[in-house]
Amino acid sequence: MDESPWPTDWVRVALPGVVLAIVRDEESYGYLIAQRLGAAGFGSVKGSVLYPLLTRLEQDGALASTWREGSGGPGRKYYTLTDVGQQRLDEYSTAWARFTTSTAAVLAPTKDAQ
Amino acid sequence: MTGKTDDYVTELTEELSLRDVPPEAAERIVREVGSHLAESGEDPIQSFGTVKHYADEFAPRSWTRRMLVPLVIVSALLGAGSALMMLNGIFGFINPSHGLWGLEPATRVVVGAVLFVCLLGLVAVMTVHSRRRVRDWKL
Repeated sequence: MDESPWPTDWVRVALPGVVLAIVRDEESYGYLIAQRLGAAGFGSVKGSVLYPLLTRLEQDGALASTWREGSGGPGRKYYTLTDVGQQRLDEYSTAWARFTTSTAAVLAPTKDAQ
Repeated sequence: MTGKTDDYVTELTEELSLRDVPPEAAERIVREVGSHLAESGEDPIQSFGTVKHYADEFAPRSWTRRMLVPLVIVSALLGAGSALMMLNGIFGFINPSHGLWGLEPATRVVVGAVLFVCLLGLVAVMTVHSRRRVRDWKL
């Protein structure tokens, strides 16, 4: 996967909501989530960032998980979104939209500047 | 799993255990690392960082982990000192000519017992601390 075009701080802030959204769309396991993040333009998200986040979201009750054995491999831990996770994602999406709108409004050039 | 991955997950299991992560949580963490590495074929250090760095994400080093070497040395000294003093005291009772630093046999036994109690106390404090950390572990 390519490096993220975004500053690391931005990715870290966006990651919890984005991960919840990926799991909402599809029951996923860690490596698949990492691939989805890469495909969505977040670059190569390291395991050292992704898995502690997944563990935290699970501890907070936003995600639930089940292990499924693989054929010969160590198996995969599949995550699903819980009601708590859905609620958190809704709140996150609303807050994020407001935040980006406010930021864009400030960043947009004023008429005087034009 | 490759040898490198095997080494990494083994080392990570030990490190998480030393940091008082509950065994079942440590097993899940390690298993997920193994699953990711098996699927991706990535280098463990490249993907997860060093074992200590990755363990930091789940549990900071406790004072017992940071002071592990000094604690082992102190425990060994207390144990050896206790055995030396008590045995010497007992031999002193059997043979009054058997001396140590001019101390009475009874004094040697008492000093040995005090050192032994100190060792037990140290082990008890570390055990209680470790159990509390396991019980209260949360990311």
